[in-house]
Amino acid sequence: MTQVLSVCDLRKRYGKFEALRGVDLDFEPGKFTVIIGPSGAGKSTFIRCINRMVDPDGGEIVFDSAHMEQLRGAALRQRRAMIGMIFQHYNLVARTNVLRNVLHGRLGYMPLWKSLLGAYPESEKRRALDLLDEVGLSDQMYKRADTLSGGQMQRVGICRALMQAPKLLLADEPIASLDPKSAEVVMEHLKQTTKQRGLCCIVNLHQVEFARKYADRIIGLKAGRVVFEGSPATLSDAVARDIYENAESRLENQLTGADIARIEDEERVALCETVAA
Amino acid sequence: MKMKETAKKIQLTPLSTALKTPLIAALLVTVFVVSVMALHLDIAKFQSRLANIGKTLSHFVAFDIPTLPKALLEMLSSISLGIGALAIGSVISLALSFLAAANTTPNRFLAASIKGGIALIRAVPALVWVLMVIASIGFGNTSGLVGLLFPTCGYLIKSFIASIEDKGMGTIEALQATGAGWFEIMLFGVLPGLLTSLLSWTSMRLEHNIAESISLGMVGVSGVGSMLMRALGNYHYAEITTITVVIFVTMLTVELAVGQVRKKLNGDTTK
Ligand SMILES: Nc1ncnc2c1ncn2[C@@H]1O[C@H](COP(=O)(O)OP(=O)(O)OP(=O)(O)O)[C@@H](O)[C@H]1O
Ligand SMILES: [Mg+2]
Repeated sequence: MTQVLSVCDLRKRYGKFEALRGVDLDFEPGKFTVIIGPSGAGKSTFIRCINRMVDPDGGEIVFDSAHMEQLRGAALRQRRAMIGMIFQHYNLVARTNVLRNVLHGRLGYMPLWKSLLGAYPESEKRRALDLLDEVGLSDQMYKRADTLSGGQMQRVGICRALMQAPKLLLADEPIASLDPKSAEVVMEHLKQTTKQRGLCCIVNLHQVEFARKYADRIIGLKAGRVVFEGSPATLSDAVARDIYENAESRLENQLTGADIARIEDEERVALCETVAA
Repeated sequence: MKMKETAKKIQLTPLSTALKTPLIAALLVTVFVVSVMALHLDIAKFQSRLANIGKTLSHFVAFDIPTLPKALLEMLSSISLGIGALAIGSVISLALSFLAAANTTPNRFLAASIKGGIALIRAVPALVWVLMVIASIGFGNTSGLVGLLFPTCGYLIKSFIASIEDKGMGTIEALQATGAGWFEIMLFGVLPGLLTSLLSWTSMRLEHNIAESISLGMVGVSGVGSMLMRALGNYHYAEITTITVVIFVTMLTVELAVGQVRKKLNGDTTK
């Protein structure tokens, strides 16, 4: 079992609406996976089910040999501490300085009384500074987070996630609010970090070009199902168009039903390609 | 067919609404007339007494210097009562509002019951709360303080909740994702961005609390309010004027001070 994360038949419904209709995916360490798909496909729902920010209705999420879907309370928090998360709107604590924001990544590992005293060990402060140094922000450590630019905030967000020393990194549209240049910087750093630390990184993106450029593996999600899975090379323009096409695309017509989940990965990719051709 | 439609005059409001307005107006006038009649106002008596008004007013144009020190001292005790209730009330409110705000509550039912309780407290006038406290623990300043806690918390919790809910889920989710516990999320994720608005609400409440603690004199809570009641009962016009001036000057000072504090706080937020 080499995978860090194994998702099996994951389902989520909001009222009558099925946001996830049985998703089966495995993730390996050191791999940079990008999930693409149209708005409402269930990308955010999928990624947020993994660390249980959203409670799934069915299926299994096995992370580091723990069943995430069954965890509660302290046990859940303990697992969450091992999963870093990066947000579209950075979600830093606005009126708190950069260094403290990065150190928040340690809260899940500290006993309450220690965090109340703000008594982070010297070694962790040192590590936070090193992380900031990597993204070129160590000279901004005492700046208030809300005085930074978007690109800088996102880099602080990444530092906070890395401060958790995670095995798994989840990012929900991390560059959707950034200009192209900052987006490149952020993606570059995410990719590099994934390789260096042997992390498993899952990123939701809207931009297919970015997915092609950075991903080791691309997953296409549509209407709560996996409709594509493969390397960037196998994602042709036509397939990409099909993933984003509305309602009655040919892909959707041919691959609906619960059987999609059971098709082997290679078959699925091949099928996508023949459909696209 | 089409011609007919264009020939018809265009109404600015649909007919149903156009009819509704005069109907509501008529209803309101009726309600007003009935209420005035129900009051049994004795206009004749009022007019005959009106002739005396000059004489009565002249009694009030007097200032009793010897009452001044006592009035100031009593004022101070009223202020302390108001501030005391504010201090205790704000601590209670801080805890309860974090438990009740939609985005921070650990339990939805707990949140609903706190919000329901606050609605109840706010529906009942402060004086009634004090009377209820007096009925259960007797007359005195303790009753005043405990009674004053109800409107204080009613106001503060409602305002605090609004400010907390304004902050949304963003940072809360981010800290949840790090595995932080509830208390840590509140302390490090929510509170830093809230301090100024919470202080602003609290300072705003100071004014109400002092005013209410003065009015508690009517139900026997000691302070400048009860001193005023005694003076009124004895028709000591000069004393009444002196006390009223003390109250007026105090309230004005407090209002100006609170205004300054809030301006400082708000300036801090926009910076
Ligand atoms: N809390 C919620 N309550 C009700 N419906 C929801 C909720 N969250 C998501 N949904 C619905 O579930 C579906 C999937 O949402 P999700 O946010 O996962 O999509 P997404 O692929 O991330 O889309 P986007 O690219 O726009 O972010 C959408 O149709 C959305 O309306
Ligand atoms: Mg989304």
